[in-house]
Amino acid sequence: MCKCELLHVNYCSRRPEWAGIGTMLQPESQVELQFANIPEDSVNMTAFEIESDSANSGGIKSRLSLRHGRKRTLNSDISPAPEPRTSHRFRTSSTSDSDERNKTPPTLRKLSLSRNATTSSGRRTTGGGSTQNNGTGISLMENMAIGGRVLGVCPLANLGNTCFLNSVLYALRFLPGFTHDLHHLHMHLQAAGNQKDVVLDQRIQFLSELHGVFVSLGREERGASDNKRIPAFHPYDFLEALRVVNPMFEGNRQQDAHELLHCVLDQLRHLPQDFREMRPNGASNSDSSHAEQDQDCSPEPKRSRRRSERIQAIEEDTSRAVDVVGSKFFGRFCLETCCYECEKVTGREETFLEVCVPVKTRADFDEDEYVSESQVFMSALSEEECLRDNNKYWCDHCFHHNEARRSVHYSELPHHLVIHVKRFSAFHRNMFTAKCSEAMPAPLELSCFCRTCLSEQVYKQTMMEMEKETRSPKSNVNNNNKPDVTQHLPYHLTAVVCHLGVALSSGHYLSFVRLSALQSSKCPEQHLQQQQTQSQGQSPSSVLYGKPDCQWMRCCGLQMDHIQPAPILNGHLDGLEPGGVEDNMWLECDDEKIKLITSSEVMDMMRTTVYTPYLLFYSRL
Amino acid sequence: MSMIAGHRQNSTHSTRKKVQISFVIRDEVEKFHRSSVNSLQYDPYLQRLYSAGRDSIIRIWNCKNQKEPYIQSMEHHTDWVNDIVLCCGGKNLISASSDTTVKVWNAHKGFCMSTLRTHKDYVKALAYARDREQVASAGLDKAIFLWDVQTLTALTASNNTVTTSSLNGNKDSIYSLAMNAPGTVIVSGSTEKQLRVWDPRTGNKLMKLKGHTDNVKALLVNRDGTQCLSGSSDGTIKLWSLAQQRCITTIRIHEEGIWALQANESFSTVYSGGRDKRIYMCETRSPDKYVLLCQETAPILKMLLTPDNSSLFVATTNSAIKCWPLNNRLSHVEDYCDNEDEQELRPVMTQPDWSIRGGPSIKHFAVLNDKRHLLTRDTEENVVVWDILKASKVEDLGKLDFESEKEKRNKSIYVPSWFTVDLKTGMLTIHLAEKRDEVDCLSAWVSAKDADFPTQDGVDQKINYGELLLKALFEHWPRTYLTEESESGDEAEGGVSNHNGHTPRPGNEYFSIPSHTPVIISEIQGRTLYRLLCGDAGGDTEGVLLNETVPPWVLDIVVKKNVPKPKNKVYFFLLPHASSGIKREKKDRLSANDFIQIRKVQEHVYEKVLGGGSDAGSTTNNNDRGNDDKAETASIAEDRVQLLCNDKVLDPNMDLRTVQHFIWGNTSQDLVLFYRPIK
Repeated sequence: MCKCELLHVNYCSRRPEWAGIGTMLQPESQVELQFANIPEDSVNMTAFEIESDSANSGGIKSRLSLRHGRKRTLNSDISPAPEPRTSHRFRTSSTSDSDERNKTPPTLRKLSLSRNATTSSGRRTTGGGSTQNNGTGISLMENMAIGGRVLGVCPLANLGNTCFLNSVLYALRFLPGFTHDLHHLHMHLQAAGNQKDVVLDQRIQFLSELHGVFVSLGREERGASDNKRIPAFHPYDFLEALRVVNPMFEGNRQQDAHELLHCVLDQLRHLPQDFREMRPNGASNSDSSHAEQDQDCSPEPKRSRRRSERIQAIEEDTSRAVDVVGSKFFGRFCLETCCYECEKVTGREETFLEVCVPVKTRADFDEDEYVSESQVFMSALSEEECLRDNNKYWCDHCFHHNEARRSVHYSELPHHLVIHVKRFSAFHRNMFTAKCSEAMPAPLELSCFCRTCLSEQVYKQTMMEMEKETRSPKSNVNNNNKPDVTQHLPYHLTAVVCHLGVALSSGHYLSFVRLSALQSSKCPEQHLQQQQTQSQGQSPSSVLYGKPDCQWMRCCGLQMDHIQPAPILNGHLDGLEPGGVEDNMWLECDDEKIKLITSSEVMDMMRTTVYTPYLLFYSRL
Repeated sequence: MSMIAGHRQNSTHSTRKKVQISFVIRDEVEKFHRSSVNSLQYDPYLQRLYSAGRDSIIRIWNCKNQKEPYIQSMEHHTDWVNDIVLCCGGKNLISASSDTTVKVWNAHKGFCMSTLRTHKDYVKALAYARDREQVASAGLDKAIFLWDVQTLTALTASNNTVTTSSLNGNKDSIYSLAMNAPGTVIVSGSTEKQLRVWDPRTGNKLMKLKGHTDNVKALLVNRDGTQCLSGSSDGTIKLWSLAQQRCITTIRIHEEGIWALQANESFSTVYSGGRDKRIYMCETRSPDKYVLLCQETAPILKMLLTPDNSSLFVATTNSAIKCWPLNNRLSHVEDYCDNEDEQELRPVMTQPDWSIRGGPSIKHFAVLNDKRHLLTRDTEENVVVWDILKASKVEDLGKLDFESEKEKRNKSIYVPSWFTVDLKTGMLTIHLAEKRDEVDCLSAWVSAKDADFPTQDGVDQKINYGELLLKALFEHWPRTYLTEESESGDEAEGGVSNHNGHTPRPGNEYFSIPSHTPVIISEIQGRTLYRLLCGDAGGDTEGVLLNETVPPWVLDIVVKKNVPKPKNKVYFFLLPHASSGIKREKKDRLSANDFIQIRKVQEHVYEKVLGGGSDAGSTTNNNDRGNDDKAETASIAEDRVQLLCNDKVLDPNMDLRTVQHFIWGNTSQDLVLFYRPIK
């Protein structure tokens, strides 16, 4: 027994009402002290409850352990047990095995390519080959598609419910400039060598596997013989690396393509930052020590690959910002709240990787006004919310709960704009997700909707209105001081990931990708530099001397020449205007099946409720 | 279309929402507006000005006596009064408020005749058709109700239903409303950004007028209902032709939202004001002819032209009302526009004819650590100390540094929060509620000595702030002090628990609060159920309404006299200090009410742990001991045992929650106290 003697001091007639509860809980150890100086009314208050954890008091022990148990669960809530992490580590070893299997060929490929490295562009030579093909005048269907399928593009195989993965990979591959930027990031990370931090290393591995997919696809395409279908590529390694980075993708269930994209973009965003944080302490010695290691274990094909890449990478401009990929997806928006009473606007700016929009249709508008498809889409992008009824806004200027308008303004829009259509809404009660499959066609071209562009638009509209209304338009408003804002480039739809089916877990994903302008097969930076030097009047050779050639095209670049020789299209698709042909051609990528379609077909499919666009990729071209 | 609306609803207040008790700390007569003035009405016969304030008070001013214009206050609303309309030739006033009610007043005598509770959200705007004596009200619940003023003024306690027709179709909250004098056209402005027009005689929708790009906050309709002027938050004024259903003119002078509009009878001249604090006069036929009349010091909420167009009353977000002269100014428009230099826009007038001074409003507050005193700073930078418990001002400190004064007055003592402060009226409104957001009205137990109340027989009583204040707020309510014999049968049950030899006395035994204090019973963030002055609770009707509205948790305290149960506990470990040399295997985890003083813990250590003072038998004999004996032990214990926390010796007068917050400093972990005996 506990040393405290069983003791109940009880002055109060009403004591059993609530003081008794305590005694019922721990009948043998409750000690209550009463204080005489508490007013008589409140005499029955328990001043002390003593809990003793001496082992011989069973009742107490059980209560105490209960309390301890509660604490433990609380702790585990805060810091979850790191089980997934350990499973990562196991998997890392297995992936590295498969690494070696799969990464040997790229090395060989690269070595063979490096022989050509002195020529200004590998693309030109291969491109020349295809031009010859064009010259022979093989019809489009014969050249590019057999049985509705397209030649020259290496398809991705479905590994069992991995259409979510393939659709995103297709979209990213055809996003203009993406593989190029990824290539340079990859080179940079490889140049840095192994990281001490396991997690960081896993994440670098993830990105290099993503790069690896594009390398393999490019290799297959270049190696393919004419008129022959390229066998589908199996992105096992990338899937493995993905599961290491994010265990959510484990198992063979259907996954959310949006989650995957988010995961990829998140890595692109954070990895360079984390990487730079890691660098300062180990920057100098890591390079040298790794060089030694490389010599020791040079026979290993993986090592040699890394080394060759590293040499290549060192040639590259390492000072280039490593987060160039991520930064092209970054935008900034401002969530503003305007109190309807005082009209004071408060807001905070945040960065975003994607814009989430609700599904909007014409039904959301007044029946008596006409709205175009793109107007519907724009209204989804800039939706306003009114804080009202029981959800009023506490205005700290009015000291009152007032109605307020909450709106989103885009202060800065990224180069690659990713739009996520919120088609799935969770029901709280049964944890089901419901899909909104109403059609919301996305326009092929989207004018910039950042704040400066929009205000410019409004300004122009006002001016037009005033010209209509008043005889002397300028005298009314002091508008002469308004600066002339140059409009940003418009966005072009480059890829669409569609979701087919009724549920997130059971549907199917496929992508439409645009065979965009051939500029995507040129190294953008070199292109720019060439332009600059030409304008400066320098000879191009001096530039090539100063800055090494970009190896991207021969590594993982997408060679459009294989799939789309422009002259042939001109000759055989009569209905299309010569200049706009390439912009009008799209690929429908459904795992192994790749079909050539036109942009109007894409638009038609987006208007149905079957091919519901889920992720939209816009780029400034 | 028509519906029956009870103007005084029965006691069917929603059981879903919790009910709170609020009170306002203020002077008995508040002569000046404490906050923004939302609306103005003028009675040309009596030369009286009516002003509606965000301080919830409507005031009547005598324009003949510009030195001492205050006549009377009309107090019944509990939130912002948003709009007023003077009707029946100045006999009656209708008011709309954010307390969701519309009230009908006798304007000459200044008392409230009836309350209309049909709206479900803030009532923002009123419109008046003089020829038909019809008033329309609209607000954030998207509804517009039409009222016949003659019926409204005839309402009595027994004849308390009124038929109203409503105009439907609005999709968004209504912020402005206008009706022409013959009552043939009514226009509403809302966050929908478009105007809607009805025929109030039939309730038919006539049209929608699109063109504004933001909320519409000011509206005027001309007498024959052919033209309409609208002022919007997008900064434009539009003149609409209702016959052609289109915008005729857009006036873009203001840089920010337009909140107030006035025009002459023919709509040829428009006066506009808004967020940019400027008042412009503009000719609607040639909108490039405009003149900056004056520059106010705060955003303009309401303007009112006198019937002879000779002066303009202006109300702003500060509490003063100014009267600007307009004599022969129209010719100046022409003169001014010849001067092309637009950059140097100087107001035509710099001084108003006269103005009604406004009072300061409280803009900033800090609750001191004792959770009883409050420091506030108002718009005139004056700092004031308030005693929440006594609902009164303690001291005017004048203009001094708020933060350093707060530091100076904060004692290192911890008391749980038990009230919330609301500054929406510019005066202090204190809310008392059952546990919500970590604030529980009945959680603050303090010792009477700490609260500076006399103690009986030197024994330190524990008092509960919330309990004392609730008792004081309802001390004039007979039900709180009449004995159970005089009450009806179902109250007898409450009397049983009260059976402890006391005859109930009014209020609490320590203090009373000023009897002019308004007491408000309302749903939390919802409707007001009842408002009365503390001293008026003795009346018969007041008693009936109190019976209907006072929530059970308050009845429990003020009628049944139940003592609130202490809820906040402090969990702590009691360990021997290393210097004491005492070894103890057992680790005691103890719990105690948060207001328990260190002295009691010392006593516990002395008696139970060290077994000091008397022999071991003392504990078993405890039942037979008297209070004197206990007090004696306490004093001995204080001399014999020292308690430490974080190596600081604790003052016996400190309570556990103060130790926890100021010395232990970590509320998420159990407190650890060390004891050591003093030889």
